Amino acid sequence: MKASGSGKTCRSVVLALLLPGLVCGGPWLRGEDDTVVDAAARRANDQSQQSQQVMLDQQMNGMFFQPSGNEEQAVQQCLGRLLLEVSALDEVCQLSDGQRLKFETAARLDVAQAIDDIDAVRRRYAGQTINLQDPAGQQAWQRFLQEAQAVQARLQDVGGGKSLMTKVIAGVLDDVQQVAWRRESERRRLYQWQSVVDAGMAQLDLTLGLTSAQHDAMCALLMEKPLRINHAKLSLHGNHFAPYVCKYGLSLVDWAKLEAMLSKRQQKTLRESIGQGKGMAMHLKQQQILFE
Amino acid sequence: MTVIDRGRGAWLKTVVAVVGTLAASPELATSRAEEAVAKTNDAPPAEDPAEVQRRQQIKQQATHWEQQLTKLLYGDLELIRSVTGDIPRDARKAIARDGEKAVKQGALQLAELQFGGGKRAKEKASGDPTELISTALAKSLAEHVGSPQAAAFTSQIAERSERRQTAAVHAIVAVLDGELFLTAAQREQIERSLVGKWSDAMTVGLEGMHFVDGRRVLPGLPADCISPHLTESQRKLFTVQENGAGNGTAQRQTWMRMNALNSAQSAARDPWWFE
Repeated sequence: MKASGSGKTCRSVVLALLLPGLVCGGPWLRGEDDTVVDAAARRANDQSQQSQQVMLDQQMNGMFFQPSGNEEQAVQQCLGRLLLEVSALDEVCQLSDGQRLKFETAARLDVAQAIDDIDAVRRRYAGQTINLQDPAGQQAWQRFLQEAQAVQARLQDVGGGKSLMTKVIAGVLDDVQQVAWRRESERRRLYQWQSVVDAGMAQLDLTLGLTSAQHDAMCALLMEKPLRINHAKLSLHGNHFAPYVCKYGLSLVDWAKLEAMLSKRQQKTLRESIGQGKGMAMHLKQQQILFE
Repeated sequence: MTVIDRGRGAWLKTVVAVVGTLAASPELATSRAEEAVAKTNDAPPAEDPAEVQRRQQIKQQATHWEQQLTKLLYGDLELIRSVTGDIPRDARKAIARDGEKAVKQGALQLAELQFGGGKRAKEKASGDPTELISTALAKSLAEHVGSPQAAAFTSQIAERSERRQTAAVHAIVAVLDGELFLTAAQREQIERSLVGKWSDAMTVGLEGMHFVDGRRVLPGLPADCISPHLTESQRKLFTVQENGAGNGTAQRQTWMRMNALNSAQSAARDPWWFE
């Protein structure tokens, strides 16, 4: 039986309509298994979406209380450090029981204040989940990271310049004790600066080919002007930043004095090294490692 | 089928010919056999691709270390110039050449060490790379200029090593101070103890950050240098890890010293030495 021309045309039209469906596997062509595959794909997609969801409650301890991630441990260490300072005060100033009690109370209050400040941050982010695939979520994550850094800094700075402990020292110690403690604090500051100078000069010693006399003269110039640094933060980076701080320190030394003690070639290399220190100074100041 | 038969026929012909030749000339046969054995023994073993890749990596990495060690060479040459004053042109060129050879040798040792060159490479490279160059320069200086000049240079190098040790002691005590809030008297006592029992292995803890229970520790520090100088409360917080430095301490020190050069600005090549 031969198909007529109109029959052929009709079949062609039907085929043309069906073909894309066949090729693309239209829904009416799918079996039960296909449905399962779709669901699996959807689930995988959902999981991928979910993996970008960050529950901030789960992140807080790890990011606030580095390196252990353990709040209790971090707080105890913080208090332990302050109580060690009280012991040092006792050792140097021969505190009375009353004075010691006042310092210990100030130390505990400083730590309690830090915990309060951290709890405020914790409450701000409690129960929040952010989506890192979403620009708003990314911004929220950045804010959270900054807050986490601030919390870490807060814990490191407990007992620092603005603490109750520091304020109390002047009120609790008598004049003789104050002189002794000031001298002790200055020696600590100089020691920390000396370790930075040593680290930087060890590097310059090798690359400038310094003689012992040159080395000692440069060290003396650096020790005349100790920079204000946060040594605890500096040492958190191992020995990485200390040479830069030292080179920056050299940028503040009278160049004429350095020029007088070095050969022309050493001067050239030193000028470039000082440039490195100056280049890093902005970052170090932002990190509150360097204060001038 | 035909091809196989033809092949077997040719093989048989060859065997017959060889046996015939051997029977005809036993000496020749022995000689040829010895040659064949010798050839087998001389032939390089098939190259292990992993070994080939390792050698390429060593070659590439040696270039990097050469740049780092050149910083030391230029520094040491400057020091020689300061210490000895004028040196005849030929002598200084020879010294610079010897220095460059030491740089290449040191760079290769470091690269071999980095890519697992076996125990021998590790032993060879475990020395201080800064000393390798200084030693080569001192030897060359003695040969081409004179012993007093070499002695003056060596003396400066020895003083520099002492300064490095002092710097390491300060760095260790500064870290302990940050953790334990030492008094000035304690710092001095601990310094003296460390100097008295000094070993370069003590510096290993300064590389990177090591924590135990969230508190920074310095592996490799002998407890008896520290603990006797601490108060009771400090001692509770001081974690001892005497053996923490572990195996490969010398190598870690080598890397520490080399890493310390990363941020170092190199002096320019001084034409006085090379032209």
